[in-house]
Amino acid sequence: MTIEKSLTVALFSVALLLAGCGGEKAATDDKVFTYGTMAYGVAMENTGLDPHKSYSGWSCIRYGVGETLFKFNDKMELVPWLAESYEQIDEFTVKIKINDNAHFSNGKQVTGESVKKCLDDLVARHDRAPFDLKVYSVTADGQYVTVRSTEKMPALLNALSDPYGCIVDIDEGENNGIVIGTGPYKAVKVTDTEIELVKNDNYWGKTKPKMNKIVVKSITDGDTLTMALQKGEIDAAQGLPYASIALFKDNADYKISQVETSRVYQMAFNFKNEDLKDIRVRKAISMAIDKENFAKNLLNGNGTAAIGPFPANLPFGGDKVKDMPFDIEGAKKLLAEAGYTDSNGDGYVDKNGKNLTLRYLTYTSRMELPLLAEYAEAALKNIGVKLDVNATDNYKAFLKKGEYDIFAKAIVTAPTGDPEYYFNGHILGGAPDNAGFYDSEVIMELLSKLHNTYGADNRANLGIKLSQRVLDDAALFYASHLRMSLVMKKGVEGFAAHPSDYYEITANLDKK
Amino acid sequence: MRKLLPYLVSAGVIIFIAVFAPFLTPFDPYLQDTENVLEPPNFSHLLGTDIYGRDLFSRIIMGAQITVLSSLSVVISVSVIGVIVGAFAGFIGGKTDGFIMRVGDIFLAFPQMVFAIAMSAVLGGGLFNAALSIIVIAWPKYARIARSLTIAVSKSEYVAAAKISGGTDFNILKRHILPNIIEPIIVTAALDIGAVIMGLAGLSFLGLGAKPPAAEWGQMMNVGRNYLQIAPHIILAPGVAIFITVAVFNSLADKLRDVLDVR
Repeated sequence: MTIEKSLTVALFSVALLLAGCGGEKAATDDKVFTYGTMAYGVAMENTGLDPHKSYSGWSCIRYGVGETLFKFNDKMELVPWLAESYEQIDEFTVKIKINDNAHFSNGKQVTGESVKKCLDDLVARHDRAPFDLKVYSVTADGQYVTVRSTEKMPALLNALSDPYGCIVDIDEGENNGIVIGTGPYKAVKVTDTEIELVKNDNYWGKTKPKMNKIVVKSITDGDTLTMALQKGEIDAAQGLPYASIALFKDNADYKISQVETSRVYQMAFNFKNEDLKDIRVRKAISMAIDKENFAKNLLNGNGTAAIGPFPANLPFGGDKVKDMPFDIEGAKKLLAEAGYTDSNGDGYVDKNGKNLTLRYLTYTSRMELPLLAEYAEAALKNIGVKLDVNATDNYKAFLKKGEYDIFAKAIVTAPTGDPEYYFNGHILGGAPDNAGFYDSEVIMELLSKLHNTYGADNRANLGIKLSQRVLDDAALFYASHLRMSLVMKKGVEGFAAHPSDYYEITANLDKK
Repeated sequence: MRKLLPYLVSAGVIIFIAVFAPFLTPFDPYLQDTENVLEPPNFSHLLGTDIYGRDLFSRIIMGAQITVLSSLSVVISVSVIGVIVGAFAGFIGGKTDGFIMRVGDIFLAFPQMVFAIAMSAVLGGGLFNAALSIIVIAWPKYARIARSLTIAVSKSEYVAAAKISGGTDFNILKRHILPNIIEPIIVTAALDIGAVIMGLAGLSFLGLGAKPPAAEWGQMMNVGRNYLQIAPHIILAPGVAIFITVAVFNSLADKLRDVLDVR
């Protein structure tokens, strides 16, 4: 090669290298907010913004496009949003007054009629809403809308505040995932991996939106998300791996907003397993796992040890209930009482010549779950119980075939600030998500009582009784609650994690 | 032969560690010590600890057993199967030969990773299935070499002499053909050890091989990936272990080729 040629090649390479380094600055414009999130995508069933489709309502409300009639404050108590007030006519009927100022982003006023149309469409098209709401009829009169249910619905307003309850303009319909909502931002482009929003100039709320443009990017790889934030390609990130959060802590260039959520990491014991039918075995397992240690050292403070299904910031959660203490010796004693001893000295307890081996099913898309699996495996080895861990994202196939003795999963237990949802869907005998086939008459009685009880305090009391019953039966083991983190550049303001897990972008969002 | 010695010794040391791993680990490689997670290398934990506070040095030693021994068994199985099939095909010839070699071509057409992923989808993951998928893909390479060498050798005069003296096919294959084709096979196998270690570790890295908490190097790298920025020793330790092992076996194979003068 001649010198000229070598020089040309070298220069070309340098140029290429420089080209590769640049080109990342465009996103840092003044009033453009770029948000990287792990929580948006096809796997989460929340792509698009149409609230009447699967979990897309979560995206609609998260990214500031939709608003519900009522919303939850930081204590998960209901406060008016699009609604101004309500009146409980009788046990089946509630009359809601819509705020006169409320407008859709296309300038149309939100009336009783538009809310009726939206609720009718919700019940007609959504998969979960009809079962939660049990709507008999919706009638509109001026700014009033009256909802009548087929049975007593003490938690109707909570259910209406689920993200699927976002009020959108049904006349405009849905167009490529875009809907017309009432929120501070409106969508201009929606794909399965990205949402582009612009300011809603007609926003009705007192606080006006401050960003000109928001780009929500689905980044489902933890390292990519971390590096995108470090490089400044995004202004804020949701769902960073715990290991990465440490990089942004004590770093003056970033801020972290954390909050306890009602997402719990739980293990359901399969009551079809002969060994697990014995409450002493279930109790022993519950006593062998040190939740405090798990939350403190393995979750690195990004979670809190759970007692029951609900976190401490809910009136029926935290230490209102009592769980089994962490006690290895006590656990061993219980196992011995139940007839499990290590008769052949292999380190595992056995009964009738068979080791106590349990199949532990879980999945990996929530990073705490594989951690919990390995931790539990080592912890249970201490009491001679062998866990066969199967951490697969194909877990539904194993669930269907019943090939598990313990199923560990993550679940939001009180998405609408009320206890009934969780027990109805996960604990009641025969419930669709009752993976352990736990079936208790006491639960059934308490739950039917809860179903007919009005008043938040009375409902909370029943919620506590239900949780305590589950713990007394050692039907499930609750490991920890998620402490959700939003990490952002220091200039980002008005962007805070909320215990509901679904209010993210609001009119307060600003960038200095 | 003298040139070979240092390489033979290095490979021997690695195999010794692999075989006697359980007796060489200073700590229980599976013992969680959550009070001491993510410790950087220090005097008590030479390579530091991982997210569960497990001693990385012990896990690397234990990993040698899992990674190196399973790779060696894969290479041995593959070469034995390949040689038997290839020598048989080459010796018999005709339609049987054509059929066997076409079957081999079909397996060669699959990219290894894609095949392993498909296999894990059908049979489930796990180190054994990962090893199996490598064996299924790799045998035709040996069969081809063995077959062409067998064809060449079977035309030689001493084989003809053996046939005339009334030797059975099996005896001729065993006593006259196999010993004469074995050298290139050994070199190919030695060269393959490194590739198989990488292949198995790669599959484990993708979550298709060894399952947690197994102390398998690829699996350990997969876990360490998330801690690259705050605790790089977690991914570096198994990474360096794989690098050293593959380098040792590859240079051994290289020297072996020189010494045996295989072209």
